[in-house]
Amino acid sequence: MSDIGSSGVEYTKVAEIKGPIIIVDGITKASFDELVEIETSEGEKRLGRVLEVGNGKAVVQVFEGTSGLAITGTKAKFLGKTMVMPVSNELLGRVFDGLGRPNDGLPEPIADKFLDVNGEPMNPERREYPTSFIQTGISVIDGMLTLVRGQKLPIFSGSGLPHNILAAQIARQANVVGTNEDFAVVFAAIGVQYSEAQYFKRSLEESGALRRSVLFLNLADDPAIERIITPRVALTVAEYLAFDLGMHVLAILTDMTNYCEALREISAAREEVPGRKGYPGYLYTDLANNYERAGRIKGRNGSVTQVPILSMPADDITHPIADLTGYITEGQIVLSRELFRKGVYPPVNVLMSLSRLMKDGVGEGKTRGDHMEVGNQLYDAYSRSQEVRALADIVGRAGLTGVDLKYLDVGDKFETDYLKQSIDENRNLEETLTRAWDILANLPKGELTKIKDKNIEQYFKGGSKPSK
Amino acid sequence: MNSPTPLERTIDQVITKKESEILTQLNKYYIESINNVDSSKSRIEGEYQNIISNAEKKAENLKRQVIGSSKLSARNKELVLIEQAVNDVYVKAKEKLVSYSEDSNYKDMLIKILDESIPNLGSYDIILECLKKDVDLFKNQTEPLGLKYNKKIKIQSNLKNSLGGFKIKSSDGSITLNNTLDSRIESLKPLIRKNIAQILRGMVN
Repeated sequence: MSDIGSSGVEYTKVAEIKGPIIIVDGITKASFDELVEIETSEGEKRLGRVLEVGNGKAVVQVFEGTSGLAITGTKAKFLGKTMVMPVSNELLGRVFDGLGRPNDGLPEPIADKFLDVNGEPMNPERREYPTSFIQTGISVIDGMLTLVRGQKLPIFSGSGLPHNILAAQIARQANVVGTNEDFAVVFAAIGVQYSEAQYFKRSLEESGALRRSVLFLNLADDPAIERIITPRVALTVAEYLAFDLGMHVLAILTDMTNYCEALREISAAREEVPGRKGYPGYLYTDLANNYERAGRIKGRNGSVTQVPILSMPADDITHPIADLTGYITEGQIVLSRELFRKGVYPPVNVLMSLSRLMKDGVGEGKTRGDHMEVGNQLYDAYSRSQEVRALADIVGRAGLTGVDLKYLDVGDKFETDYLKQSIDENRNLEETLTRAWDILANLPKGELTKIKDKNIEQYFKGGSKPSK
Repeated sequence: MNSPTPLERTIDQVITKKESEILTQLNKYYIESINNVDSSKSRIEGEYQNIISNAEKKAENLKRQVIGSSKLSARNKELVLIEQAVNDVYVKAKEKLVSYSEDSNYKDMLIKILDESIPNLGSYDIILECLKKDVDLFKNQTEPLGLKYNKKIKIQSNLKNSLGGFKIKSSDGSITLNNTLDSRIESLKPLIRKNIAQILRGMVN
């Protein structure tokens, strides 16, 4: 992040310091969202932005926190511009902190442009409907919850679940297939532990994927307020890479729950009327401002695809963050604690997950003709196997029919041979679909009601005994 | 020649039977071992193919990783070198700017900036800090500008270690506007860096 241009007006009258906010008095000229440089009495400089102006006062949110600031001796310089991020293709392969400052020992990037971190809203008329497939190398996602370029598909997780490992795997493996167009990953870690941040960095370095990635790491011990900015700078860079350089960009934001906590902190400090669970009433709008930055634009080559990850407190899917996110995004991937306990990685609960745009991104000419049907059939079979499992708990296996037993078997095989894969296993779509057909081969042909006959003839390897 | 005794015959029969049994068993084990060797062969071939294909995948990954990291490392070294060069150019440019205060444009620029800056200090009277050599330059301007904005402007020559320009403060010291050349250049540094880097990379003549 940069503060180019004007040298700014400096004020020394700090009227109040309240949580992450300072109130500066005697303001003659300030604007909403203006960048402010705060200097402590010891000469340490911090950044902030104007949240409110009026009656000669300005409410300033200090990104690095107000700890150590005093009413006397603190100076606030209003820089006359909003927060900008220097962008160029040199950002690829770089690691930044949560405010967009270099964190890899290298100099500030030499900017091609300076872009407002708040972005510019995409003209709805110019939006292009997402229809192209992104391969993550993870069977359950590619086969059943396909990610499409320009889509926003969140991962709903819980504390202790391996969402960060999954995020890193997606970042390492994600690619666009069948095209020579450039692909990049923008990874924003929001409020993660140091060890997790190191894992992300190492994981991308060791796989050689860092060269096509930009990392923003806001650590758990960094001031919470910085987290407000991290997704914004990350998405600003993603938009630049996509719409200026024509790349297909996958933006992974983890963990959006920490972002929402920071919003709540600011809101409480501003004494705003709290909404559900103390989050501000504008949580929906704020989240939408970030999520809606995904998409494609007519006439431009690139795309921004978002995978925001959020940990649901107490695994509560009705929690405001998950709830509101679900309203804005185009589906969700839900992680299951039960599968995690069974040792299944990635523990994706397919029955609660959905990619709303999958139907538009798969099929003949995009992936493979049987892709959608196989995905639906697997979904159906796994759903039925869950019902049979519940039934078996009551009547025992002896009380099940032959077909029920086959479904039971299919459910187990689905979890062990399809869902489960190692953290460095990159399966291409062909392998994913082959595995899907291998599982479906355990069912009688007559049970495959979601698949067209021609595809059954071409790919089905099982027996032809009709269902009973 | 005596015919074999019944005992000898029985022994012969047992031996023949055992011999045939053993031969049958041997034959069976031989066939089994041949089958085993055949099946092992195909299994070993499968394993061999797996190992080769895994090794190829790993080699490909390793190659990508090595090429990726070496390209990245080379790019990063280039960034550091460019940064050093940019800093050198920047320092030299600042040295050259010391003589800028002799330039005829310098006075006009300062007066224009002062005129634009005064409204930022609200209704307060103003203290102007400048280099000792610039005091005369501002003296003639304080009266018309004071009248224009209805303020008293007091000049102090206490600006030190600066290339030029001025700072203005409100009379109570609560508002400061730094318009020294140093401060202006510092805030424009990101833009200047881009221009210098373009020249160094031969992108601009």
